[in-house]
Amino acid sequence: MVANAQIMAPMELRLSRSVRLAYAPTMDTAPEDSALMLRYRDGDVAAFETLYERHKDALYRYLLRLCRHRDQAEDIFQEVWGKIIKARDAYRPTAKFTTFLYRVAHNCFIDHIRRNKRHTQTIDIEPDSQPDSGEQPEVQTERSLARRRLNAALLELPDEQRDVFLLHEEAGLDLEQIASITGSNRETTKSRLRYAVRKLRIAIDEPVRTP
Amino acid sequence: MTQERNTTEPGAETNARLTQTYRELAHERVPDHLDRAVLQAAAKAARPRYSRLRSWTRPMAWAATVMLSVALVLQISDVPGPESIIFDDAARKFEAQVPQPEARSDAPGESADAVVLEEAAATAPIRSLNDVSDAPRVVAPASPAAKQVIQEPLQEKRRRSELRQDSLDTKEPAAPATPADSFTLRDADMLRRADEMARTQSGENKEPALPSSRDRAGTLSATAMGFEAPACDETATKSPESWLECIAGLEEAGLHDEAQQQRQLLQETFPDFQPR
Repeated sequence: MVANAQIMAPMELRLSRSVRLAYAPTMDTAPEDSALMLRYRDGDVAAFETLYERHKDALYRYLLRLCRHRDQAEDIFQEVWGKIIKARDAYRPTAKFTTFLYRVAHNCFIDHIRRNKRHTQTIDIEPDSQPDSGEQPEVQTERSLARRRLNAALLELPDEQRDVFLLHEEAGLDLEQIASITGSNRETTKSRLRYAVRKLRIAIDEPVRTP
Repeated sequence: MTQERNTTEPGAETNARLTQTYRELAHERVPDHLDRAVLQAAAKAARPRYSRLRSWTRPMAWAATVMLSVALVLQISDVPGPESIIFDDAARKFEAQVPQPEARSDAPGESADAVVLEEAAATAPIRSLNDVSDAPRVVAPASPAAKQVIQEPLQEKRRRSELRQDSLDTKEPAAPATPADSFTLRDADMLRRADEMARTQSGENKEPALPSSRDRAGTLSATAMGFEAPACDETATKSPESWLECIAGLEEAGLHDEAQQQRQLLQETFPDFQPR
């Protein structure tokens, strides 16, 4: 009994310490997104900069392909991060930060569509500006054509299917998380993803199948 | 991570190619101006509590400074200046010696005094306006000009009083002065009676003009000093007993020479009279 008490005391100490320093960085792993967000809530701007560096490009690409217009994507991008900054005091690490971030982005996009009834079809994304990788010219041409066809097929997808595909590819979210963000059930999300993947796969395979 | 997940799903090898193609396609990066805007917003929002505190402390400090300055200026403006203090002094002295209106009408020779006193009275409203505030009044010494304004009527009045007493005086010359320290209330009473008797002798019953307390005191002190030595009047010299009482009174008042003269006169007038 006495021995148990002696063992329990340091454990309690360790537990209370781990609770108090929930977002403290560990030596071997980078701090989690939630920990960075909590640090930013307490006034650590550097934590926010780290968090922003991690997610900014993927979020930008998600919005760029979702909106299909660069200026609108930039406006929504700024709006999303503004809402993240505002919500720092109310932030609770109950879910993955990526889910929280893309839910905000998805809602901002929906609000943007509602505000602008005429959803613009402008496509001003440069599809092929990949640098030279040193491959054979035939291979380079084939890949460039595949990218062009994929870009065209992606822009042709319905908004819901494109949204699900981009959340899957850019944010790396699974079906449950995508369903949670889009407000649909898992099966609907799975179906949308399957349709999107099939269309895009056909688009990039088309030149290969055609001699 | 995405490729690992894709390998677990149907058509994994095709999806891997799709993912690779998408990665080659999607290489856009956030523009610098967006980076700056977001990071500035984040940095600005990271210090809200302090900035909110500063946002009201600075105007509050300015408002408090302005209010204190205004209060200080108003307080300074309420303190009376040296001119109003001079006027205060003159008006106070004016109140102490202002005569009754009917008495002044009885004394037409005092028109010069009246002019000076009216000038002093003209300054009285200034003092009353200054006295409205409760601010402590600084009492400064009056200037020589103000002193002259105040002292002139007093000296003039004293001179006239002395002249009047001289005219009321008897034919005898003034007795030598005695020390004022020996003057008592009883002496003053006796001198007052002697004064009345002398006035009765000369037949003048008129009260002196402007009998202020100060003048009366000056008259009493002058009597005590022997400037107007009262002689025994006709009533007192009718009988040797009353004459003797009068002489006793003179002696008690310290007017020994006068008493001696009266005693000689008594012996000459009533040679048969033997005092007890």
